[in-house]
Amino acid sequence: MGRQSSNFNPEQENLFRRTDSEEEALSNPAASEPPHPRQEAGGLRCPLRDVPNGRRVRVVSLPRGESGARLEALGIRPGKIVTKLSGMPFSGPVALELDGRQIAVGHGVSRAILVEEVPEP
Amino acid sequence: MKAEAGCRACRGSCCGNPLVAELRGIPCNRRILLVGNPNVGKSVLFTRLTGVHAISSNYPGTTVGFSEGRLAFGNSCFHLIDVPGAYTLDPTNEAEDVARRIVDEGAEAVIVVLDSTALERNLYLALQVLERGLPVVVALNMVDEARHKGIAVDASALAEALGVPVVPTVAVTGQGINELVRALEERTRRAAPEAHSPAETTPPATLRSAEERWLVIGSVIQRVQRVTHRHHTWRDKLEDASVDRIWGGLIALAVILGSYSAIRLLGEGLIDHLLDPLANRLLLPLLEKLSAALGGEGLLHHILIGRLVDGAIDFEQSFGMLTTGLYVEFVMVLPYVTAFYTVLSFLEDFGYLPRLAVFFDALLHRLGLHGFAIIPTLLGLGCNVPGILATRVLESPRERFIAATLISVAVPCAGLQAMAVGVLGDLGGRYVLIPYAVLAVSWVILGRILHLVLPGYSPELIVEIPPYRLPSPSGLLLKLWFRIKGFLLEATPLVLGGVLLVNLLTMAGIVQAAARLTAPLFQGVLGLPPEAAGPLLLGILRKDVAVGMLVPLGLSPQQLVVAVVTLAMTFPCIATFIVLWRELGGRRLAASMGIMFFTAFAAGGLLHALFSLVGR
Repeated sequence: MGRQSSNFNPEQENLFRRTDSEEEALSNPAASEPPHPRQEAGGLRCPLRDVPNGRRVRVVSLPRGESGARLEALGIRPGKIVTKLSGMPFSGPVALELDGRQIAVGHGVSRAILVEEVPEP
Repeated sequence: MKAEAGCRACRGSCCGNPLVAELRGIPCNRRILLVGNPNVGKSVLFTRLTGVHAISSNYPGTTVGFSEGRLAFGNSCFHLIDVPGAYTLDPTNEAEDVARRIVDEGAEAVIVVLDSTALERNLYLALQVLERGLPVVVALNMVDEARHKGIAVDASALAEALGVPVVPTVAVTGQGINELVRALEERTRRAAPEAHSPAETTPPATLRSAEERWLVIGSVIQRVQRVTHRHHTWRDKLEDASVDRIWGGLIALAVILGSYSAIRLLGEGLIDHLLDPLANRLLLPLLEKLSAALGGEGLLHHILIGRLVDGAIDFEQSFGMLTTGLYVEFVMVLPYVTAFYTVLSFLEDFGYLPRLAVFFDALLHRLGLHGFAIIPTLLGLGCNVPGILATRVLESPRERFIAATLISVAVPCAGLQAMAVGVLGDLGGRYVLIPYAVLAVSWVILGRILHLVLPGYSPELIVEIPPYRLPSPSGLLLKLWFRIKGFLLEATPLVLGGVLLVNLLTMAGIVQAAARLTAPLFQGVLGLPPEAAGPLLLGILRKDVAVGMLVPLGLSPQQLVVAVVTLAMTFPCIATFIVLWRELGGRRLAASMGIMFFTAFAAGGLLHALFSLVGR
């Protein structure tokens, strides 16, 4: 808890100003996960937040730190396929589906999870 | 039940009172742990095995402390410990920390409960327990739900892969419980944790890395689980719609309005058609006889019956232990408490509440909390005590402080609400609305301020949303009964004692003295007459009684509103105070109380000023 206060200001919608996800977002190098060559070629990577609703995507990397550990504990790991269900307004959370289970993650976390497209089955 | 019957042999010798016994006092070789992910049915299984009722709900984190009960088979008696749900033994929150500590202390045996519908994720914790070299029996729970979802898990293949017995169970119906006990018996009969069948997944007690674990899990899953495609059911569609930004919003609105109407309807129905007639037809004649026997006056009459209004007993104004005391608790408050918990328990077991968390996350995030804090808050609307206890599901001490403070300041309990609605409702709907609006606004403003002022940061929402489940009527009734019993046991002595104390203090002139002393504060800031100091001060015993005490004072509607708002926000009732102390510790409690005091008088004072401006 040694970090500074996270005076979250909704107007100031900048991911990198938000201390709670700052470290995580900044320290999100795919370098920590040796990228699979096919994944590399798999095309665009983007934050889960920006994925259209109902789209299946593959998780590429997680935020580091505590959030990452909690996501992993829930089974959200690099390589897993998830479906984004919805994103709530006003910087609300993102709901996703993983192995038939719904999981909700906060706005900042949803921007720090990088995913890539997978071809529709 | 089998487990219960065998226990008589050792009652009193090795088993203490299961509800108060400290875990410390139980030697490790007498412990059997119930371990698993959150919301996999551990508490239901616990109740099945011990007969001790543990509250369960359809959302992760219901058990934040641990329950402990007796479990006996053969000639031995064990203590079954319902360990808080954990996804991992590398703790990411308080519950997991407690879980890890309990597991690391060791046990005679561990029942690892797996949710068959989410086997992959559940196996992670199972591996961590196995790596610690503890004797394990796996309960493969919710096999019925898995079948519905088209997931088939081969129990014997899983047993082979893990090298431990695996018993398919359905805890809610009791299926597989006897087999589980038998497997446990066999497991504990073996001497020390000897090396069991050397399957590749049970290495000596060394801890794997997370990556290694997921690899092992991947290979296990391939061997034991088969998923067949199936069509989307109405339940899936409802689950998806519930988190949709538009449909979900409409559903959330409908649930909130529906719950409110249902509680009003049920509460009023119970009062008008059952309890009020009962009080008037059965209790009143008895009390009238007693009153006459006592001669209509005197000390005892004053304490038991109170004062007569126009020569007759008035349940709301007489203020005796047997008149107003009983009436307040059993006729005015109990019906609403019952109605509230009926609706809440249904929503809990159905699995709706975590979805509500998704909707409140954006707002709560700006108050230094995250969406899941809506669950303690809703519990607080019934009684602040369980609400504050439930703040343990939040990850950081900062969040817990904010949530607990907000609950004790701005979340009115059902008792207070029932009385406030009863008293203010007669004056017109808007007088009921004002206190709710003031409390809601104070809740947001105070949360915002705390978030801006307090150092540290609050983690974001990361939560599993359970599937919808139709609650079993018997489970629901049991839970409802458990909660109502809890309310009655806790409230009855306080309500009756409170009325007694008020009468004694009034007779001794202490209330009047306190009123004179605090009059400048109450009169100057809140515009209340000196007599109102009594009820406000005695709100510390019970808030519903305190509202009842305001009735005979003849306050104006505006004054009543100010008094109710201040009462709701200021000093918590004694039960809430104690639980706040326990949860926050002395220093944080003092901070919380300071905030509470200041906010209450600020809000009450502002409201008074506003009323004066608008004109009486």
